[in-house]
Amino acid sequence: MKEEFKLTSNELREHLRRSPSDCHRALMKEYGRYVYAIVFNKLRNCGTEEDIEECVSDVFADLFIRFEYDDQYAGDLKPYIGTVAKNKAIDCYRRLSAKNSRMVYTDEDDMQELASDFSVDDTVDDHELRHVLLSAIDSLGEPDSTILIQKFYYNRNSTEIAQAVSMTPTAVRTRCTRAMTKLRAMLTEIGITR
Amino acid sequence: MNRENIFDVLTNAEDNAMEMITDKCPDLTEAQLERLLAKSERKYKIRKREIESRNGANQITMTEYDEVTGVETHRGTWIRMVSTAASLVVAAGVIWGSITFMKRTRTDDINNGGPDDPYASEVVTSTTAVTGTGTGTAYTTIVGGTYTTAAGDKADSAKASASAEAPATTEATTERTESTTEKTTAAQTETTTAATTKSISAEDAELIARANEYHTLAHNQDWVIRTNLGSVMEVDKKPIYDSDGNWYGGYTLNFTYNESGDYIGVLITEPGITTFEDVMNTIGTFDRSYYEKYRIAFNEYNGRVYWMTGQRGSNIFFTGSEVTEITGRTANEIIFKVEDHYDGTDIDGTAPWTEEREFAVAVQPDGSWKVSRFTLPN
Repeated sequence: MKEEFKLTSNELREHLRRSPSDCHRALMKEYGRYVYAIVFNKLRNCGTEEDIEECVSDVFADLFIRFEYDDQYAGDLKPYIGTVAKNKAIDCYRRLSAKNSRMVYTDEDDMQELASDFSVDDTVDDHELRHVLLSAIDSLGEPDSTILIQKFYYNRNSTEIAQAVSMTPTAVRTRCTRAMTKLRAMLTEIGITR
Repeated sequence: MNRENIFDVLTNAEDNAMEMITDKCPDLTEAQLERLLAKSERKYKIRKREIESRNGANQITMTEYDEVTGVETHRGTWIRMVSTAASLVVAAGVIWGSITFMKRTRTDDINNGGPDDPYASEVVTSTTAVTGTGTGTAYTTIVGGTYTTAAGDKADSAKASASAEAPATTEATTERTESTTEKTTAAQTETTTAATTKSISAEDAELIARANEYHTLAHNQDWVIRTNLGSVMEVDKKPIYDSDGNWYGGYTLNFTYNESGDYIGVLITEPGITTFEDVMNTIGTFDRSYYEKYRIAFNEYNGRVYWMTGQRGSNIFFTGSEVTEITGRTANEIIFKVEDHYDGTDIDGTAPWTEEREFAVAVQPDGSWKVSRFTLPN
């Protein structure tokens, strides 16, 4: 599901000249998911879905203004947009973190147990653990890696994931359980156990 | 260490981890896309209005703290000097206009001005360009004395000192004043409308005009302190690199944390500024009695001062502010009434409305002003 970004900065400038509103729509269609992912990564533990969408719209409003008034900009759009999104998300995080609210899980709480209560050696830092976890998930291949990330990280329910991976919700649940079993076995081998 | 959800470790991931997480992100639904686009467009229009009205008055170009536009240039005190100079030019124009009105008024008295007189008195407005963040529309105030112009010049004269957005508003206000009748004296204009009678001396009109400039300045500087301090003084920034280590010429704020990982703020690197008082004295707009409220936006740590960035949301109905009258005076303070205008006609059909708040300046021993009471519009 590797994303290819097609809109270049010159095309953007040209599009802006012709029709700002069409340009904004094109930007949102091309980079909306990317920005959402960045914002979600920062706010998933302290904000609601509404907070995340509010921040995403702040990012795009900021981008619309920047592209309109900063005509000296020339470069690859993706890192530029990513940076703006990250910084805006950090600001939102600071505002929201006082509330200290966790994301609301989907109604499939029983499945959340599969991903819970892992014991990690205190000497393993988060950076290393992220690398290990993502490598293990990646090695499961598709559609299992997508199912796991969308289930336990993006908190989507089986019906929503089923649409993304073209399966039935029941099949998603079955594959999810099996994938987590495999993942658990891989993590146990390296000292991360339940 | 037990983890409630092992996947929580993916939160706040670094760039290379983000690539996989982003790849797996669910697509936005059509409804979600439309919702996000509508919200973004609304916020974009509000900010565009704020920028264009601010640019019209004081030539400050908006930049966010995370400007990613190439070679970083120092924008220090010269920005404040330019904006102050622009404000003074507008104020001077208003004062000139007042003096001209006064002279012509005396001429009218001699000529017994009337409908057939080439210098027929008209209640013409001197446009006060109230611009800046959130004050996007020029409103008009009635200045002491009558304004004798050749027929047809009234609107042009009023537009002369207004911002780019002024014409529509100026004409609307002129229409309002056209329905009034007025009597003139050498020092005062008395205007009678269907609803109110307002008498403003030339001196008060000058104070109100000056207060409008200071109100705009206070509004702009409040925004600067909250969100864009880097536009008026040096702050700590770092180059932005992508996940491949490439630099595209942009910079972002460098956030500082202490040994415990607590956020300290963004270090202010401007030479000579090491305390909160240094910051406020450099900005210079606010009186000491007032600027304490901004202390929360700064952090003094290890002999330096750090800026805690933060943004305030915008009211999408807000269209502009105007200082309208003097409501009180003490030995060293002048208090004004500010009218905030809102309009939801183009948003959700809400009819325009107005709210009032207070604004005050402390008159310094040398006669200069510093803002002593200011709040942002709702």
